[in-house]
Amino acid sequence: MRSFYGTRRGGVREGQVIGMLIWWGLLVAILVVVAGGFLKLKIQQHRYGEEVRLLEGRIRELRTMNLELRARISEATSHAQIMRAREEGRIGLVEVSDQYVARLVVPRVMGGGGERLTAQVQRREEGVKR
Amino acid sequence: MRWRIFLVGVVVSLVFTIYSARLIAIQVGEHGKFVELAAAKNTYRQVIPARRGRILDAKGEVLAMDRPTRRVVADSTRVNRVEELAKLASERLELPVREVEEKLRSGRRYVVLRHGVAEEVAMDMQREMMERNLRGIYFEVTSERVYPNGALLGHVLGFMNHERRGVQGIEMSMDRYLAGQDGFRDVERDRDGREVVVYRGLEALPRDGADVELTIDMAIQAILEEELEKAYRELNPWSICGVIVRPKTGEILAMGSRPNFDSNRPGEAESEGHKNRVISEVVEPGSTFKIVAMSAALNEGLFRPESVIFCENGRYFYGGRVLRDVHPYGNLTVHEVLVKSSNIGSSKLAQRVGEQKFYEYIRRFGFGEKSGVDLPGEVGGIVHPPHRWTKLSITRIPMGHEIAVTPLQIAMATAAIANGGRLMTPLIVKRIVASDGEELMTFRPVEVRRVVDERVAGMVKAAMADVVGPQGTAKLAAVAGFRVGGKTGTAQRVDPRGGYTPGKYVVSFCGFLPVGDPEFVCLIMVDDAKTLTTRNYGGLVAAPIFSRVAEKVARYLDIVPEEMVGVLTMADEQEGNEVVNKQP
Repeated sequence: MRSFYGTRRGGVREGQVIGMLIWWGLLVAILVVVAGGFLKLKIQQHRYGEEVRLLEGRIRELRTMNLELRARISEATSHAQIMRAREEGRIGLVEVSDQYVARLVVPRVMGGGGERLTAQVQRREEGVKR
Repeated sequence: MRWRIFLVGVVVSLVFTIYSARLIAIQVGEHGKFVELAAAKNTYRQVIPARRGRILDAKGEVLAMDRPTRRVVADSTRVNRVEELAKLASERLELPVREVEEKLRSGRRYVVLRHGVAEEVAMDMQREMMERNLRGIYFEVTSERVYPNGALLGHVLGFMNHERRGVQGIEMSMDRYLAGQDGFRDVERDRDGREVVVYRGLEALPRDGADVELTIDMAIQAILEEELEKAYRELNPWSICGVIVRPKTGEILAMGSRPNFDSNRPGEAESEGHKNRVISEVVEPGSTFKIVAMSAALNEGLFRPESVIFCENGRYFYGGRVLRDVHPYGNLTVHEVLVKSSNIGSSKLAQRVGEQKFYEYIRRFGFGEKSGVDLPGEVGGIVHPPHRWTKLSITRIPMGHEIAVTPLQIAMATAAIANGGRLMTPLIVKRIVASDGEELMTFRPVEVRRVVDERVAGMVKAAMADVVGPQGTAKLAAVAGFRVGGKTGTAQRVDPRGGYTPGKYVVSFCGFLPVGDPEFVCLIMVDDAKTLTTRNYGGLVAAPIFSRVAEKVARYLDIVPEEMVGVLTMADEQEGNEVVNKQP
């Protein structure tokens, strides 16, 4: 390779120097672009990772909160809790007459007379004499 | 000069060569070792815990579920300000400062400060640590098992040990479905211990446990347990238990025992309280067993219900011993033998059937073998084969002595009579549903075998209905508006050292309603009730408990009454009439 500062035989040719400079400049620029791009990608990747971590944490928190609330609801609506509330007088049982017990488990279209399907009506339909 | 330059060159080259060789050795030869060391420093396998499946009742009420908690752990090599952190942790976790400080200075990379910390406490502490830039304490996601109903149904649900494995009840028998599979993730942490997501490695998602739906109906369970608890306080027995079964399918609707335990705090109960007596207690059944002798005699065509048997006026000499009836009877029909609960009549029925045949009927009714219910700890009872019987056995076994059975076996045998002669496998698990809603398994009713002909079952049922009638031994088992069938049982308590304990009795009543088309069978068994000996009979102690339970259950199940009893009609109400008993 020829010396950058010229040769023994003659002075430095200007064109050669410019060419070399362009060549090195291009190389450095490419390297800078590649390295910068790589760095940018890495930083972006890291940032996205952080976002993923935060989101995952948030989802976990929400799921946990959901489970916690479900556990509390189950406790509050459990039979044991209702029985306790009844014993403490916070809630009471009301006698429900047979004619007011609507049969929700056997959905039926209301009759022509617009009569509600109650335990009493159903028994009458089934031929149970009362 | 040249020589010197040459020497320096050689030395420099030699040094570089040595360094190069060492570098190659480290980079290539010991590559694996150093990679592992580096990985161990910053990476670890994070366990992603699977959620344990829930246990639900037949109507979907949650009986057992996981509640999220945190395990607070410390990495003492990463703690920056020990005193400050120890003070904060001791305040929030309610631990002594000294204990926390010791753990934070231990030099260990993983030390547990506290298990089962509530979510909100952990979150607050984490927030404060971030604000004050403290590090070295971490909060692992864990969960604790919660049983919203406390002691209700404790024997059936069971509980879990510290390794989160079921050790009793459904928690144990269904553990393989409930447990699920933990997942994991290989992660790398930065200087502050935070995960570097970019370097996340191998990852496997957890598989949550499946939900187990039971046949138990909590409303019925609550009725049963309320009455058992009341009786347990009033009668102060050694134990009391009850079970309610749907005879057509064998589904168990309720099951309870006293003493009992709270599944949330199983360690606080005595060992006796952990015993599910319905499946693991063996007792001499007493007169409830007479249905076997009657069924066998009728099914073999040896007798008809109206056939007459002489009951020896209450004293029957056989095998050199006297067998007595509580009340002396002369001639009784087979039907009356059961209604009056005659020991002598039952023994004569069994004698006529013959030892081998009678033994076969005992086995056909499911005695002497496990019923196959999906609960751990079930025992099969004791039924000796005829070649081990004594001369007296054929007179004692028909009245429920010299034999040991579980309360569930009695209930299932009665259910076989109630449903027309088919012995069913008791069902306690209805279905298993995966966390994504997919149905993994459905448990259908299983008929074990036909025990007796349907016609014979009807005859026995009719006799059992009269047991609760005015002439029977269980008048107190009656339920207003319904025809109830059943059989009382009174047996002396077996002494574990041999023989019987004088003055102590195991009394029971097993009944069903309505007789025409039984919707449920209910057994109540009271072991050593503290009451007068003259009152300690199945018909006087267990039958009233049955009556209270059956009445409420019948109302809850909205069973159509067979008889009009105490009904106030709209017309009566308008006319201001009072409630009166009416016959249909």
